[in-house]
Amino acid sequence: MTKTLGEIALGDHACVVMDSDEQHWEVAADFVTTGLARAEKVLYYDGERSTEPVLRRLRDSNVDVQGYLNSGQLVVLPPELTGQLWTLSVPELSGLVTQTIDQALAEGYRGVRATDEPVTAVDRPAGVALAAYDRAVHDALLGRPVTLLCQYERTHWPAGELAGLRDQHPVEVVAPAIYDDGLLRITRVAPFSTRVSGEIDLSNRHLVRGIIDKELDRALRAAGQTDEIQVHLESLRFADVTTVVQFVQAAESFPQSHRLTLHGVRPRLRRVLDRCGAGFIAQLTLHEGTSP
Amino acid sequence: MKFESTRTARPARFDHRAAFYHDPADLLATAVPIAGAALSDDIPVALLTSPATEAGIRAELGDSPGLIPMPPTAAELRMSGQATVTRWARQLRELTEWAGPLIVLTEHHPDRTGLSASAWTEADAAMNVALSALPITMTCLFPRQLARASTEAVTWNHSRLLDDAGTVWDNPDVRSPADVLASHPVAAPPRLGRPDRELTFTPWQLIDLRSTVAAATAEVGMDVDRADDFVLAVNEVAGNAVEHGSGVARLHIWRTPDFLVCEIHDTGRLDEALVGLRTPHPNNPRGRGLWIARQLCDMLHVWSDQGGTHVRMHTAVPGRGAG
Repeated sequence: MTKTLGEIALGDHACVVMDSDEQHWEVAADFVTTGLARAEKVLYYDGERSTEPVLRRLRDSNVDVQGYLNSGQLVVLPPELTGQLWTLSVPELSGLVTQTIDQALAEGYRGVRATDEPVTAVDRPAGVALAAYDRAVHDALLGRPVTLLCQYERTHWPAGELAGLRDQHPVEVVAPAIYDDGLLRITRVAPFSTRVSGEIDLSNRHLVRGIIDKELDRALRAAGQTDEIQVHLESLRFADVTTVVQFVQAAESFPQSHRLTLHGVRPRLRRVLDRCGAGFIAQLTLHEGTSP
Repeated sequence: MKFESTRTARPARFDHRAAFYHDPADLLATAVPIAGAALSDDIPVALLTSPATEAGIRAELGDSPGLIPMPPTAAELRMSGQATVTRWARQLRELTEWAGPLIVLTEHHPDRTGLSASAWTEADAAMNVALSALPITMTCLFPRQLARASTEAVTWNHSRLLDDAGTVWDNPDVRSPADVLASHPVAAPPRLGRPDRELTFTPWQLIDLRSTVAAATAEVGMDVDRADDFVLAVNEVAGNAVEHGSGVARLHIWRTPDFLVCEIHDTGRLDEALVGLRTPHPNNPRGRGLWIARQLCDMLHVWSDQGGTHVRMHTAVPGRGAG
C-alpha cells in the first residue's frame, strides 16, 4: 500500500525509497516535524551524517530544534550507534525496540515515531539478513503506538535486495515531486502552492519561471478559486540573480487580480530581491517567516 | 560647435567635461567659478578632489552645505579604475536620488598608482558607462604636463572640453568607451602566484564552485551575510563565464593578508569591456548579475587578453579593512 507522509499514522511500518538528497531531507524533516507536533517521542537513527541538513531544514521551518533536543522529545542517534544495531542478534534487537518504546511511553509521550537510515547495514557483518532484522522490528511494533519509517537511498542498495525490502513493508511512502534534479526539488504543497527546495542556478533556473507561469494559468482558468499563487522558499538555500529577477518579472506579469506570494524569504534572498526592484511590484508579496 | 557660454547648466544626463591647468592656482581658477555658479543655482557640488583643492574652493566660496566632500580614499587610488568608479557611481546615484542634478569636480591625482598606469583612462571610460543615465555634469581637472598618451585618452573620454576662458566646447574627438579601451586596454592586475585552490567547472558544477568559495569564506571567519554576498558574486561571474564562454571555466582562490581573492578565467570574449557597470534597466532580465556582483565585492576587475576573459574579485578578510 502506498501512502503520503501525511497519511501514515501510529501503527504503520513504512519504507521510503529516495532518489535525491533534497527528497531525503524533505521526507525526513516532514516525518520528524509531524511527530513533534503530535507530542510523540521522535527517534532519528542517522545512518549517513544527514542529521545536520535535516535539522537545518527543521530550523528553516521555525521548529525549535534545540528545545526539542534539550527536552528529550527529539533524540538523534549518530551513525556510529545506528551502525551498532546491525551487530546485534535478532532477539537483542527485538528487546531493544521493546525497551525503547516502553521507556518513551513511561516518559509520558502518547506515541513513538522512529526513522532509520539503514545504509550502514549494507556492509553489516555477515550472518543476519536485513530482512530478518526488519521482521523482528515489525513484530516488536505490532499493537504498539509506534510509527516507523525506514529510509532507503536507491543508489546504496542492489536492486534485488531493495525490491525485497520494499515488499516486506506494509506501507510505502510516496513523495512525488513536480521536479527533482538532485540540486533543486519542487513539490506541490496544495493547489496553487508549491515548495522550492535546494539551489537554483544556471543549470536549472529555466524551470522555475515555467512552473510559476503554469500555476498562474491554472489559477486564471479556475476562476474564483484563488487569486494567489504561493511559493514556499524556506528551504531554498541559493538562488542566483537571474532567478530572483524571474520571480520579480513573473509577479509583474500577473494581472492586477492575482498576486504571487513568496513565503520563507531569507535575508540573503531579500537583499537580492530588493536590488531587483521587488519592492515596486504590487502583485508581489514577501513573507520572511514560514507560511501558516 | 560652441555648446554654451555659462559654466553650469542644470544637467539632465551625464555630461563629462575635461579642463587642463598649469598649476594649483590655475586649477582653482577653473574650479571655483564652476562650483560657485552651481551653488548660486542651488545645485550641490560633489568634490572628488584632494583635501588641498577642497580647502582652496572653500576658502573662496565659504563652507556652503552645498559643497559635498567625497575625496578618494587611499585604497581607491590604489585600486582598479572600474572598481573605483563602481563605488563612486553608487555614491553619486544615491546623491542624485536625494538631491537631484549634481555638479561634480574631480582632479587628477598625481600619486595615483591604480592597478596599472592605465587606471585613469579606465576610470574615465568607466564613468561614461556607469554614470551615463545620471543627471551629473562632471568636470575633470588635469595637469597640462600629462604624458601624450594620457592626454590623448583624456580627449577621447570627455565629450566636452573647457578652454582657458571657461567656455565649454563640444569635443569632436570624443570616442565611445569601447573604442577608448580598444586602444588603451584594461590592464591585468598584479599576479598573485600559485593559487591556494583551483577548480575547473561547467554549468553543472556551479554548486561545487559555491561550496569551494563558501569553505574559503568560513576559513577566514567571514560573517554569514558577507560570505553569502561574496558567494553570490562569484557565482554570478562564474555563471556568466560558462554561459557565454566555452562552457568550461576555472576558479582560482587566494588568501592574502587583507583579502580573500577569487578569479574566474574563461576563453570567451566580452562584447562589452566594462560589463556590469551600467545600472540595468528594470525590464531587462539579463545583465543584472554582474552589476550586483560589482556591488557586493570590495573590488571587481574585468580584463581580457588573448587567453580570454578574466575577473578578479576581492572581499576583505574580517578585521582587515578594505581601505
